[in-house]
Amino acid sequence: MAVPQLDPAKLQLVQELEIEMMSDMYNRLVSACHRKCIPIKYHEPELGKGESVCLDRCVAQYLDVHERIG
Amino acid sequence: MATPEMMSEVDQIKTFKDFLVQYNKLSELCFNDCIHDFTSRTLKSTEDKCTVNCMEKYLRMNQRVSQRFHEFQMLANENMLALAQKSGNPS
Repeated sequence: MAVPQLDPAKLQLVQELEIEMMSDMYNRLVSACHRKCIPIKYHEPELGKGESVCLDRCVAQYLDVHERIG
Repeated sequence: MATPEMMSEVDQIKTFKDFLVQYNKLSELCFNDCIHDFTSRTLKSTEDKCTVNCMEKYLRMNQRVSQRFHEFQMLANENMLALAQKSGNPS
């Protein structure tokens, strides 16, 4: 992706915006994968094997979707 | 130098604010998922256990997701670097 020549102030703003966007995306990712992968019963405090695998896949797929849309 | 110290203070405040927001979100989440019985003023022991499990599970989940996310970011950074180097030195 070719970035046109921006003056340093604008570049800084863009970078800060990107960091904030990353942070927001991370929060939404955690929330979405929690809803999709963790059942509501809460019998035990540890993550089960199925839940762990589900979380790994959830993160990968969420990031794929994110890239696809971008 | 004054500026780097001030930056880290701003970052510290931001981190602390994020932590507080997370804490509130977690409270609401575990309350919604675990507490269903309002016949008494105090928490039942099952609901109390459920709440503790909810919190621990959420924290472990957060840890795992953050690990995967960091791995992905490292990979993405490497890819971008490789791409930049390639486009910088056409051979």
